[in-house]
Amino acid sequence: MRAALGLWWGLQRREAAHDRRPTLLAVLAFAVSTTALLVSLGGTHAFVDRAAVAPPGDEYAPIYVVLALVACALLVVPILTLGGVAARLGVARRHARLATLRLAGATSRQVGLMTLAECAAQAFAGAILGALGYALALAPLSLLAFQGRRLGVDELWLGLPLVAAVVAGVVLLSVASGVGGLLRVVVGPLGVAARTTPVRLSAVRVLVVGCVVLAWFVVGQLTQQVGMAVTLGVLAAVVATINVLGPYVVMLSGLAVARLARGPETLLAARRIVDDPRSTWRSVSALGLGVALAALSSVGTVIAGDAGADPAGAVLGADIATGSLVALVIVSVVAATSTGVVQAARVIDQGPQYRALALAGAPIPFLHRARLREVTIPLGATIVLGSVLPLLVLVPFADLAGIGLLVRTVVAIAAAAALTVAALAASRPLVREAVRL
Amino acid sequence: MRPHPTAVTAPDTGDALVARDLVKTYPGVDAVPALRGVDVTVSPGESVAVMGPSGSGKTTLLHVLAGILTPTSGSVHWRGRDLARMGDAARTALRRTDFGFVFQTGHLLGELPALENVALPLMLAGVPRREAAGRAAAVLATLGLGGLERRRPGELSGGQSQRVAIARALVGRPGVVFADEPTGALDQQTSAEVMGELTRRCAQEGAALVVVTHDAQVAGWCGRTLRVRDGRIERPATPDRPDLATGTPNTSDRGTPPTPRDAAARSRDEQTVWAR
Ligand SMILES: Nc1ncnc2c1ncn2[C@@H]1O[C@H](COP(=O)(O)OP(=O)(O)O)[C@@H](O)[C@H]1O
Ligand SMILES: [Mg+2]
Repeated sequence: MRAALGLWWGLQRREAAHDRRPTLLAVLAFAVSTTALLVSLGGTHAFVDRAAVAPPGDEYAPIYVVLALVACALLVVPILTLGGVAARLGVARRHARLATLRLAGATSRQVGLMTLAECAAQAFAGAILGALGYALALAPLSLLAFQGRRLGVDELWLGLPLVAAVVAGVVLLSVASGVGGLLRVVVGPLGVAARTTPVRLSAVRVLVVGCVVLAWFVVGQLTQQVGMAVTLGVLAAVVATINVLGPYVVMLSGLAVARLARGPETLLAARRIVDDPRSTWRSVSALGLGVALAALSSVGTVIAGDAGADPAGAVLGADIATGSLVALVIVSVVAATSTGVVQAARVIDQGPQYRALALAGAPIPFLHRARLREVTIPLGATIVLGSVLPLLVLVPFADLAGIGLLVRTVVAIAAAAALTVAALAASRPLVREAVRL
Repeated sequence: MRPHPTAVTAPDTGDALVARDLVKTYPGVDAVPALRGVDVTVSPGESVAVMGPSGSGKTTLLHVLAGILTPTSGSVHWRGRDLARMGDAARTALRRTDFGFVFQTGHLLGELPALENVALPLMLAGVPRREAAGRAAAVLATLGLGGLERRRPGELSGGQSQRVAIARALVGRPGVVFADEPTGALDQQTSAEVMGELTRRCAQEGAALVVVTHDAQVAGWCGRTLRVRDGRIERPATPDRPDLATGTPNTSDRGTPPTPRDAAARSRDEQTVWAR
């Protein structure tokens, strides 16, 4: 064990700077997801705090708590997805080093333990940075006003024990995900490394989603009888099914585009999407969800604004709009990080292939265009699915205030998409470096 | 434009690939030149093996000849055009249209089926997809890969992958195919088969072949052998006898694959290395 540890340390130290980039990407992803998680929890904490001290007659305080819980539940899925991306990056990138260690006589148990230790170290570093990010975000967040007054830093601060628990949770989740990754490597080393024809995702996914949506309609009618907890549970199930349906839709759209593609960049992009629809989905799902959230909430706000002339109701409407924008900002940052990290990791993995293409005369702009399409095809599909339906529902209610809100929503969605594309552009230097002659 | 040193003495290059006095020094602190005065002429349709110890400059030579690297000094002319005087974009386009490449491990795109890997260079050159796919399928068939078009590189054996790579290199009807240790990762038997296909198909297509190899048997399949050592070509022979050195253009041979024995015999007869 000591020899293996020494070798591991040596490999670690000698790793060239560019081999550390996957580690940096993983730490960045852990950091962003931790910050996003803490901010979401902090916001929820603020409304719970306020409800606790609200006067007995205040019928709106509990609504705020429920809305904050719903927003938090919606945000947790993409945040955990980003954490999963980070953990995957940590394990998948170690094949070469694992092979070296195995050749040098380390047992698979030792190698596995080292991998998990590294994974945990990355998650810990990222989570600590993320907690710092949360602390830094408190001041600007306290400028936001809800229920007619500003959120206090003390309301948003979760307290040290809770923050420490979140950091520990991130590390635990990454280790769990690392164990999963290791098991896959152990079960089928070739299945992970070699690219074979991707397994087609099955249409059973559609059936599952159909059932859950049906359940949502039923529960929606019976909310009074079944109570808030069950309703929220089914809502969470609906959100989860989006993650079941997403990869399937992504795969179908990729297959369709691959069949119809005329240009080489579209063909390559579509094949990459079909190659790993789950990872493609992971890189765009957060934004799709955020977009749906923003669009839905603007529908809700308009309907609420129409219904009541009561001033507290108007404040609630405005607060929902503000809150959904904050959620959209969080989700955009998470989504952009997911896309940026997944795409950067793909360039690093496929450096030799990129280089071979460039040597054989493929212009670098072609590589950039193919990568852009790899993101914009699923992104476009997600945005259309996530926003068009709710916005269509909104149109009949579109008075002047509604149009203003609609414009704001569209602008916010466009900004979120632009942020994702910018995150993709951030890995352009990696492409240039990979093909440098 | 500054006068080019070789402009005056530019040989009557015709359709050949002609390199004169190549020097290549990689940027670096205590950089030793990787090439120090290399002359090479590759005539249309001939096959040239490049051998030499590791680090002697074989890959560098290949990359300079193919316009991937710019030489520190010296010149490369292809069909009468000076590569150094072409813009970056034009050189990139040239690699796409006039040259083909086979690398040690294929470097096929893992997400694309074999057919699309082969069709991609054509599509990059603006050939419509349907036509590109048709031509790619035809080339794959000539390499004995009919029926494997839909397989991905991960589902092919090493030898099959290299054949797909050969198909990809040949599909654009290049003037020269450059191969850097194309069978270095294969066992001897498969290696012989793949090299046989490479030389046979290049000859059929009338493409010249420049192949880096460590395997004397592989070199035996080529018309002649260049031995590189420390950035120079070894055993310089009588210069200016292109009629001897560049091998036979073999118009009569075209369409008939050389048997291994023929190629070996030819390589013994024509070991002349055309270098200063
Ligand atoms: N990109 C590079 N930067 C600096 N030196 C290089 C580079 N590529 C090759 N060299 C050096 O140039 C010499 C020739 O290398 P190369 O052409 O790859 O040899 P071969 O292919 O015969 O093994 C070696 O000394 C090598 O270290
Ligand atoms: Mg080499």
